[in-house]
Amino acid sequence: MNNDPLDQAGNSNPASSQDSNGSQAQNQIYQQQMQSEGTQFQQQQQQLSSSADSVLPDQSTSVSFLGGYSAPPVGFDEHMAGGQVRPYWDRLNAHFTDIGAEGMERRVKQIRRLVHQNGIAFSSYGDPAIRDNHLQLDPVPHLLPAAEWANVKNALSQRANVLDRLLADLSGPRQLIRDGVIPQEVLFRHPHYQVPYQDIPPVHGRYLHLFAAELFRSPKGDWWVMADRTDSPGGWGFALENRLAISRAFPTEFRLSNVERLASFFIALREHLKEVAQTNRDNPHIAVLSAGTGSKSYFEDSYLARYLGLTLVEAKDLVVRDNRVMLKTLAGLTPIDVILRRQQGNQIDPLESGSNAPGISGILQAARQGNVSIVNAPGSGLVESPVFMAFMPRICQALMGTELSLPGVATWWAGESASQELILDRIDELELKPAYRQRSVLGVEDRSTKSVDPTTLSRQKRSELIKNQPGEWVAQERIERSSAAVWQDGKLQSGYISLRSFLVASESGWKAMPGGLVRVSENPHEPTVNPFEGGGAKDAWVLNDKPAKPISLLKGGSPVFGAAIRTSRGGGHLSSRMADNLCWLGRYFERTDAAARLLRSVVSRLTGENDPADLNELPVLIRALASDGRIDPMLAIKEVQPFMPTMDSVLSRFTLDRSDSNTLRSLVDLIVSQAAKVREGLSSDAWRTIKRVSDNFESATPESCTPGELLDLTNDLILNLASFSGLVNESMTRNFSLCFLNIGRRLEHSLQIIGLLKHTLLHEGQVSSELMEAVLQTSDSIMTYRSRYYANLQPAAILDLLLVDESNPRSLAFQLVHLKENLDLLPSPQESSGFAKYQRLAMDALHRIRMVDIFKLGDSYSKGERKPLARTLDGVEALLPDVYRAVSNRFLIHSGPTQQLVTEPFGKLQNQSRD
Amino acid sequence: MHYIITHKTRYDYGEVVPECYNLVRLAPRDLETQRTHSHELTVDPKPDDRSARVDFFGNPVEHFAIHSPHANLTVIAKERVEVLHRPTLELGKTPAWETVARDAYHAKVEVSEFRFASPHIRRNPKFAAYAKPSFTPGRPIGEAGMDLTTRIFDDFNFDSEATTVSTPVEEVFEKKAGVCQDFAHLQLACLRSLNLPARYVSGYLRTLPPPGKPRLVGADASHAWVALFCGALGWIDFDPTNNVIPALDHITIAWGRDYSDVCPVQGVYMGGGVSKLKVEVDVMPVDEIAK
Repeated sequence: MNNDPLDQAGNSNPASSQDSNGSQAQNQIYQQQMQSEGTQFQQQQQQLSSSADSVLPDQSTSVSFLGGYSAPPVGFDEHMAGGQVRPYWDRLNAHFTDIGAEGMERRVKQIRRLVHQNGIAFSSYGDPAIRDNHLQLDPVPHLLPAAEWANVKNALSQRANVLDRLLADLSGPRQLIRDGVIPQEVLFRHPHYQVPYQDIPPVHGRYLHLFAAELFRSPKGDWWVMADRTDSPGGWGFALENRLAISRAFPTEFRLSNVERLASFFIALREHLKEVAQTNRDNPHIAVLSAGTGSKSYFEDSYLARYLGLTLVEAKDLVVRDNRVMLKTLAGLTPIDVILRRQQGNQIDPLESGSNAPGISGILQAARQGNVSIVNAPGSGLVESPVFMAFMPRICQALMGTELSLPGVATWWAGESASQELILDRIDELELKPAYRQRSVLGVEDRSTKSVDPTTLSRQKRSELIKNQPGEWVAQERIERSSAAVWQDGKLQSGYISLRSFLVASESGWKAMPGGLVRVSENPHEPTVNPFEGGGAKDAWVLNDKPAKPISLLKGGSPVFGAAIRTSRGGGHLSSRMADNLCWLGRYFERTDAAARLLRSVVSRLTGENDPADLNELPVLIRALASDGRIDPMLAIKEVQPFMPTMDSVLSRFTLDRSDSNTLRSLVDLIVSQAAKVREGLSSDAWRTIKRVSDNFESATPESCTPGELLDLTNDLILNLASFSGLVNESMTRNFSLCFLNIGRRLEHSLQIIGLLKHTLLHEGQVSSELMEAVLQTSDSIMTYRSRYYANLQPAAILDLLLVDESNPRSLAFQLVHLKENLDLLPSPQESSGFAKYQRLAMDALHRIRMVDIFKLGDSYSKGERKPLARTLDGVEALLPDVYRAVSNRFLIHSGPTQQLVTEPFGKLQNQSRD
Repeated sequence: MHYIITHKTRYDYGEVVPECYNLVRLAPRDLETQRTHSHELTVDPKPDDRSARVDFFGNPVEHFAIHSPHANLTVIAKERVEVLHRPTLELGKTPAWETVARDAYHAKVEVSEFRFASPHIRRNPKFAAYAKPSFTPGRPIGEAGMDLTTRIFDDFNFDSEATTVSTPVEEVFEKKAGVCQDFAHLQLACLRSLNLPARYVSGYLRTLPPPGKPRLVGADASHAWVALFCGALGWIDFDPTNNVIPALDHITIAWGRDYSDVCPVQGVYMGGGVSKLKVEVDVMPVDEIAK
């Protein structure tokens, strides 16, 4: 970062020191309050605890649920005041007392299950190394009486307005800088100050549409702001998921407590997104722009998109044409009118940012022309940096002529000389923080830019930091958060809470989510975790006197959405990326299924009654496993086998090895990550089945898994895959999504059948009847075969059943028929006549199988002539990858990474005066 | 003085690319001492989308995009510009540089913005120390600015091989060599390290052929210099590459905090190989046409 002592030049001027006195005065008041409240409370608590000691045991408190909770001696406690349970906790306390510890534990399990199944996970999808990091949702909710909440809500609306006006001022007149309310450095040295954003007009008169504030309760019980989130605030999806789990765990209490519903907030959000459209205002196409499956907020992005009924997109799905933002869909390019920006950071447009990070080239110019509404405005993250906290009281006064209704934690910017002195004086008590918040595109706090963590430094080092880079640091009053009961290890313990509140702009002012995301940590000072990095959480209930009106997002809570809906069918909006992902989900699905079935054939023989050494088909099956890369190929080489450990002792280890990408374990990971990428296209039941697949494997350890357990695991996997397949077929609309999933499945299943036949019937040695039986078993056709031919194993009959019988759902012919059927459903280009390339290729493959003379083929095979069968299989096998390529070229490949043009420095030419 | 300026930029992508998006700053600014009589931007292949705007610093910007496969891109800007005499400057009558530095904080935000670091410029005591001999106590800022211009001209070698477009200003300072862009950046770093508002100016320079030889068409280049804020007198231009105060020979295109704000042609494209660039600039005085 800039090591710039010259910056202090600006600090010596009278205007700035005068200003800092202003903020100092306010800060001092806070400090006194904190201290005096703290000590008062401490004394009070001490008195109370000593008096409580003398009357113990108190019957009424010891039987009550919260009676078993001992609040920390200092600070504000959410449940207890003066040794008594706060009145608004009575109802829940009574209920918790009724159900007791056992009832609580049952609910904890229920909540865990719900949370897990719904996938409240912050993990990077697709990376098996990072396991789902579940938010530990506490069964005890956080309660907020309506009257108290109303005050907080109003105060937050004021703050949101101030921040919006602040952004407007900084992007335009900059009066606050001209008037010296904010030092110039704060804007011009801000790493997020981007010139290209300065001339983008606000959408619907606003820069800030969504706002989140991180709140805490001071020892006195007042709410204070700890941080602002103005870029693309996250965490609301988690608040919603928490609500669903907790309200289900305590349905009656939830209803009787008249808890305000969260849906009103989401309805307001959706209405606002529709309202801000500048194009196609009657029926705007609204997209949620996610940073993708690698980002920490991806779960929330896709959850919101599904909940709000919006299109989930990534930068690579969008392209700019004629200064409009377009979504690449199967049906061609379709315009996007509103973008809910969930991609953080500063690189939304590679053309103007000069970076090759994923973005949408030309989007800023489209926004300048009013052709797309981006919410929040690009660059709105500028004001969430802690440096602005130091100036908020002054900014509010200057912009609104009033004081902030909700105070922010006292903050001093070391770039002002008076503040710097104060910070150095109090360096031991204050928290140092980087003045400017750095975020990467994926939403992770970029730690590389924050090369030092001030909390680990000595006093001396911290003072040097302040003196050497004053502009880079702020100091904040150390906060003391309120305590609350947390159910942990079967009893109540105490934690410290903060509340993330969410607001969305609307025609009638800001709408706040009633409640928010409460996070719990063990440290009374600052919560160290970002909500996307796990930790504890609570559902927040705003308690009303009257029953809440039922609202739902789907039931037309708003006439705007109920009216004038055009009915539509099909999935024209399916993005090309989603189609490709579905196709690959289908492929991984079949690949895993085939691997599991072959493995089952091997394991069942290893664990059967017969000595595996006597089974002539077993080596062939093991070789087939090895050829697919499912186990170490060394295990299949006969000559080496005496030196290798026995198969039953190592099979689990190989199968469950995650480090090799071809093992069954890795295939399971692939399915889960691929399913996560298309989650908004799957039903929640289908998703739960996928989660179950992954959970089963999660609990199996390669070292201790016995062959018997491996067999169970494989059986479960096959069953779960079948139930996933059933759910998909029963619940997915017959649209392009299902087409692409099926195309992937049929392609892969065909390849797997061919592979199995080649590895077994075409292997070098003898084909025994045991091997033929194993082939039928592995391809799940043994029952059909027996019903037709009893135990008479004949190659012609087997080949008929597995290759050409179109009525056998596990035959190659069946796959090819259905592949072609699905390909025929894809949208065909209007101008072309006849069949598309992918159709011709698929028909070629099907035709080859239909033209097989099965008696001749079977007869020659029985005579030991394997070439005709090999030719047939090879011919079809070679065509299938071309089918995928043709589909991909026609529908799926639309973009690649962008590159920046090289640029020429000015004045490369030798100047005239030097000749 | 009238000029007809042709600025031709040709990109060879190395491979066919399906589309490209571009942003160019090639249209001259209209100033009190400069008028644009015509400006035309020709792009080959013909762009599918075009639009124009004025950027945050008041520079004209043109956007275009091509959505059909192409392997080359040619951008030709042609304009007729009239450069008028600038008012005579009495550098000795400019305010003391310390006054400007001190008042910079209170100057209009449009001015004071230019005293901070920017993507290519860092403030650094080394730069301040280099500038200091020119900025002696109480010296009029115009004189001091000219003196620094002369010293950079004397101390630094023009060497088009020494640097690239991305060479940091610190390295230019160490190498004591570069091209006009490097000298401009270096001078900006020196001036801003003294808390003085200074901006980067891009444009063209009329080149005079060696005595007795004809002017070579297309052999000119784009040029860059700096402007220093001098209090009530406003901005004064200095050209460290030629040790002059720009007058009739300098044509202004755009200004900004540094090169990144005024890059003449920037763009992104999908796919492609390594792009190659060829630039030809011709600055033709109109009286030559008559000849």
